[in-house]
Amino acid sequence: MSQAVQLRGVTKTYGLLPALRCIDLEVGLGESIAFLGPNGAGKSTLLKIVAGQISPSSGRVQVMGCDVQKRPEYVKSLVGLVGHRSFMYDELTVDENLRFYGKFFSASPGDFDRVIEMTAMEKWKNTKARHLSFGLRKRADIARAMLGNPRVLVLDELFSGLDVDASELLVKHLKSNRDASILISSHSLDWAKRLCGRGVFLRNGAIERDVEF
Amino acid sequence: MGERDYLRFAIALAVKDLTVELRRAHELLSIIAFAMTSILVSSFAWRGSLIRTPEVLSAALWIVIYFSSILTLTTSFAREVDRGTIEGLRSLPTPPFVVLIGKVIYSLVVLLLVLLTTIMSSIIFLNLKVAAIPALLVLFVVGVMDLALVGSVVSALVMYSEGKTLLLSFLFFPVSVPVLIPSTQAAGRILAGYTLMEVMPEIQLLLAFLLAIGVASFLLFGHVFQE
Repeated sequence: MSQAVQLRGVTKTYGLLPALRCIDLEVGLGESIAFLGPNGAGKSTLLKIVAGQISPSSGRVQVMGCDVQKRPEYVKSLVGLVGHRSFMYDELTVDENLRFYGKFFSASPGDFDRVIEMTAMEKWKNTKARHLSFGLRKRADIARAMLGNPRVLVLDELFSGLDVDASELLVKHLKSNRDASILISSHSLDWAKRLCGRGVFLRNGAIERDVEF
Repeated sequence: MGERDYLRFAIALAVKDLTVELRRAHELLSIIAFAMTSILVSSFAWRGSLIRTPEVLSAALWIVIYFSSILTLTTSFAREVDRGTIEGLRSLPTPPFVVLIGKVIYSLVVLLLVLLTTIMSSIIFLNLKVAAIPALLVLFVVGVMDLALVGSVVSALVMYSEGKTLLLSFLFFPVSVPVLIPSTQAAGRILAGYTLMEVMPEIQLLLAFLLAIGVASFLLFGHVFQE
């Protein structure tokens, strides 16, 4: 198996509105790919479909050779997802949030230290999520997504709302994790190029260009 | 992944919800305060012979439990949607019904706390007979399990709606009627001196309803949970 993610003829419609039109795409093992395009291009919908959050209207999606619709739970155990909004609970500390999510992803005790170290969150691990800045919250979310060693990381709007330093740090941390394939959506071509080796430009739910950076 | 894992996951979800609830205790305290003040106000209004009427006392207790369950269940799934954490729940590698079971366990624990408060207050302020409490507890626990399950499903159904609080209140009542009718009647009979065995048909009805709604939820909740 040489593909981490494979999409064949994937379409998605919301009512009569098409969000994705016949997407064919392959993402290699360990490859980093950025989905770029204007608002409403279908980037987030595509990532949500890969992560098993929503079902495609037609077509087939495979993650590590498994059909997302046939084995959704197994596929979700292979995917680390960072959504547009944070999944952290305000009332829980970073460590408590990680331990809660870790229970579902078979995270070992060493996993928590590893992801905390990888995202440089040691100083904030006992801080409640509500007291974290936007950038720190994003890092905590990435730490959560890395629990259980996912084979695919899906990061929606990774750089939005982050300053240069925080983005720099994220790129550094993500580049240090070479095991997983990374799929991001972004409005920033510059930052996408810093992290990914390939860019897919979407417009009106269809692939406009697929380029190597 | 087996049934024991599913139960472990459901308990982890419920513990998370309870921890979150206890750290922002104002909501839980307001529900408990509502239960206590309702009993207290009833005691002011019904001083005299009426408070010994089993049917009236039964109605008072179930009204408190019913409205407390609305207050509890309104936030059950809605809070996850409002904060964006519903996507986190949806990303978990577990079947959707496990999330529902977690929410039901959480609602059940909160409602049992309210139930204990209500019964304790009723002993003090409404002269609830202590001898009736064991049978009443059995009835109320089964009834509260029904309300927690039905309410959690309705809460999930309306979680993306604009006026979810209003919708929950309206939709929760018709589906609660099969719980409220036998429960209020059975509670009235227990308070009138009947034994637990004599109200067993009502309790069996409540258990049958729990089973029916449980099976329907197991089969359909996946569609409700999907965005």
